[in-house]
Amino acid sequence: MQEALRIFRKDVRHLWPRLIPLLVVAALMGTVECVPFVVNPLLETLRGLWLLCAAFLTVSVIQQEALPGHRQYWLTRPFHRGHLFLGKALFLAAFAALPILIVEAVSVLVNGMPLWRHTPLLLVSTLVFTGGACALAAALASVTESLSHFLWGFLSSIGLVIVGAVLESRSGLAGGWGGLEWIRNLSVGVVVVGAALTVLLLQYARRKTAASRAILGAAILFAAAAPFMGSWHGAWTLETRQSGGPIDASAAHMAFDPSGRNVPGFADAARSPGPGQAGINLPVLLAGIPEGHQVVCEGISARIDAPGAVFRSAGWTRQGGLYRAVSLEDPDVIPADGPYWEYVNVDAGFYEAVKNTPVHVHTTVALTLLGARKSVPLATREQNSSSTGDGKCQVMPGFFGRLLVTCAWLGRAPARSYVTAVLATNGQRFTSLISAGDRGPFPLNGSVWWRDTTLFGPPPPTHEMNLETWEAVAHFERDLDVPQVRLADYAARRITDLP
Amino acid sequence: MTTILRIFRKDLRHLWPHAGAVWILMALSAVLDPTYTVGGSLFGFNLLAGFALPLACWSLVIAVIHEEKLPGDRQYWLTRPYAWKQLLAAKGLFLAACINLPLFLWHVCACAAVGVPLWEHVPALLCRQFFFSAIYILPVAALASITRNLGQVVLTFLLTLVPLGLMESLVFARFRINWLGMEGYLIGAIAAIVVAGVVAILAIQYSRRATRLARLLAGALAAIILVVAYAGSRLAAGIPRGAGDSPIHFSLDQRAGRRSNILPSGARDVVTLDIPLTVEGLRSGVDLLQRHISLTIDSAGRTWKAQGGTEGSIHDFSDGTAWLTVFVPHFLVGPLGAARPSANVSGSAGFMAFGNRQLLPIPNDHSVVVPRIGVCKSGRDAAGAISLFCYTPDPRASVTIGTTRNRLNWIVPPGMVDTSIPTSSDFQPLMRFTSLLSYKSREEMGTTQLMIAAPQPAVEVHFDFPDVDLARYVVPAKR
Repeated sequence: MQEALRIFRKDVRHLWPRLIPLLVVAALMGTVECVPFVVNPLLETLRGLWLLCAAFLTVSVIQQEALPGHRQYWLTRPFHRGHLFLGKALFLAAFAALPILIVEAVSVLVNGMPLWRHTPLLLVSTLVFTGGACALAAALASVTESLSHFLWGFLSSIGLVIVGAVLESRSGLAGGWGGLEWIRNLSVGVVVVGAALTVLLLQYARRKTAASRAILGAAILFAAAAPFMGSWHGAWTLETRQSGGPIDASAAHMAFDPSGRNVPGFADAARSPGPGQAGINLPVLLAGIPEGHQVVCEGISARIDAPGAVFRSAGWTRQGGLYRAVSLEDPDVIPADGPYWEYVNVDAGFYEAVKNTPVHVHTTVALTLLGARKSVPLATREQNSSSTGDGKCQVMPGFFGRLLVTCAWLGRAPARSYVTAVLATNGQRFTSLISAGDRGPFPLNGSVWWRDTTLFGPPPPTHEMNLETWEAVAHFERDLDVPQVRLADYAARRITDLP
Repeated sequence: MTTILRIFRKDLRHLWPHAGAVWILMALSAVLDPTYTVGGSLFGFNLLAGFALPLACWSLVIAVIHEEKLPGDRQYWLTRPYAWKQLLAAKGLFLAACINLPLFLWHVCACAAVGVPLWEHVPALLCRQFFFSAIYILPVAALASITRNLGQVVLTFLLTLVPLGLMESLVFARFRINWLGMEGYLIGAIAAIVVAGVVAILAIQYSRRATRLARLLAGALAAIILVVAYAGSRLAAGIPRGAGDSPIHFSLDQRAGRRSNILPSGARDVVTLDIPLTVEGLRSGVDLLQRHISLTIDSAGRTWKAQGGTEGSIHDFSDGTAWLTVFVPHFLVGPLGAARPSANVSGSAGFMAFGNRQLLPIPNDHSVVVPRIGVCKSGRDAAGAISLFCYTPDPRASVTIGTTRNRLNWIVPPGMVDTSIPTSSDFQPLMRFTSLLSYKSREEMGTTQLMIAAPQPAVEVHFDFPDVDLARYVVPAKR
């Protein structure tokens, strides 16, 4: 430990000018974080800048005793490589992680939240963000001889990841995991950071640069290919098990509605087909939603059997599912039993071939049951801000005479949050969705705050505004089987189909 | 020249992997540019052209300058038989060949691929190379010439340039609105200062290796740029927009029968006035679009001034007539029908002028070359509707669908027309403008045409209408 502290002191002496930008940026981030209910675009700039400064400092400290090559003066010094590794880790913990931990803790305290209760969140959030960033930069620094080599290694890596992202967006899979994206991100993060730590251990223990480069390269290739790996339904199953398994089969069951309701027009439909697609709006009746609960549709898979042709959706997709035909509200939320619509995207060629033929449609939808509803006052005539348990909200004048409502939750937001106002005169209810929540167990971006904002059209002044929150209490799937249906009767309208 | 080429070849031999990375990233950006590629990814392109490509270019600039480092006392290359001018020229040649030339080729290929006539837009493409060099290449070259290694470059960047950039973004953001109409000249002035300053720094370093002096000059250059940006903004705010005296004259139109078509404001405490005007001195074929207005109304001893320029507008110029619409506070007019004293309405308005109208066919199955723009095409959007879009490296005219101004479906709106020096400096070669409205079918487009109008010198018109009966021009709340 003595040697590690000596190395730490030597690094501080050598690198103190490079600490200045990192500490200044951390302090600026803290200033912005202390006002969590104001969505400040500067925060993202500062976060990017912090990552740049942290990477620079990490490379500098690791390459003080560069590991690859055959001209390492420090190999002759009387210290163990374990002490060297410890000295570097101490340096990064002291100057990268600790300042972030302090500024986040200050932001929690300044906003009147109990620090002791949120200590685990603070530690995990800081460790994941700063530890992940520093481990990656340190691993790349440990297999490169100079800052210039590091830079070109970083450019190659980022180039590969960009190509992966571009191919993903071209394949139409972008953002395909929705609320389950955190499972994929966390899995990729665990693999890449795990590989980075392996590389660091390998380099500091044995200086096996070729093997370390191969491991790091494989991890970067994995990160680039991540958008194409894993299955949405696999992540859904994992989340279903984590939440305590499916609910009773009689709850929230679905049936085809043969009553011949009018298909919603373009303005009322929540979804419409893209190029090369045709959309089907199947009328359904939903029953058995437990009292005090509501349902959100997360995804759909469909199979259509026609004489001589079969259509299967490409696995599970979020481009479809149960919805209600209400404009300007949260159409994916089903509040109670009743008639709704189920949207299915099909291939335009298949649709044209079978649209007038009776076909057999089988769909499965993935649903989340929302419950544990809470409602807390958000603003009254006397005050425009409120504390909502683990969060804070503020109501401010916004654009076009509307109200700007901003909420910030510590850690994660509820599954659904709405701003509501009920008129005292006639009981009319105004609602605006403010947050569709975050399903991850902890934030990955270093901030302990989850922020969301909405513009709310103010009703007449005789009102009190509330924040209504819902938590996800169960995840389950429901099937719909329609043996005989003519697709042309339920075709979704495009904007160009207007009379 | 032989020595210059030798140094150039040596740098290329040493740095070909770096230059190769720049070319690969540039090629990827060219292929993925969502402006003109089908299914191009905006996210991927932004990462490439906004982050990876600049980083790679800067790394290459630093690497080539640091091949023969200037500060310090261990420079092997001082013993070599070449002059500093040859070394500096070789570095310039390397940067031109490895960065500017591929970028120019990308821009030329992109223009050719979408059908923009090259010969007409070569000056704009060359201007882009100048501003790109002034903003992306030369400052980094100067920084590299006064630092010993990449670590020093990054540290200098983080400690000085980032705070300056943040200051520019945050402090000067409020002044930048004043740049409107003068932006080209201010950016041009800043670019010229950068070029002159960087050339001086490089000359000092390469000729005398006076690093301290060069660093002082770099600091002074940064300060001068901030002062010019700040002073230019303040100056621009004080300069009256548009030309001095205009032959155009407005007067009240006393003829009966002209009916206002506008809707009232809707706000309870605001009265909407729509005053018919007669316009003299406006050349036929010239359209005026208001850019700003200052307005004063004196009524019964009370004076009201338009505060932000949004309370009034002179619009709908047609056959020697126009309308002055003003949103005034209720007290100025009083209840409808009440006897009110007459008012004096005076002020001035600045206009963008567009003329030299040209009609071109709508691009149905083929693209249409549009002078001063580039090329316009038609295609279906995600919802299946037909939209028209124009590609241009530098918009020098407005483009509308329709032969009259009664139905305005802009493709290139007048506010987007560049009337100053083309100062674009980024990697993206083309801009894409899409029609405001789309069409269900080709039949719906009918026999309409594209109307192109070129910008004319701006116009400033002063007006003074004495003895105006404001109540006569109030737009009723309900028709």
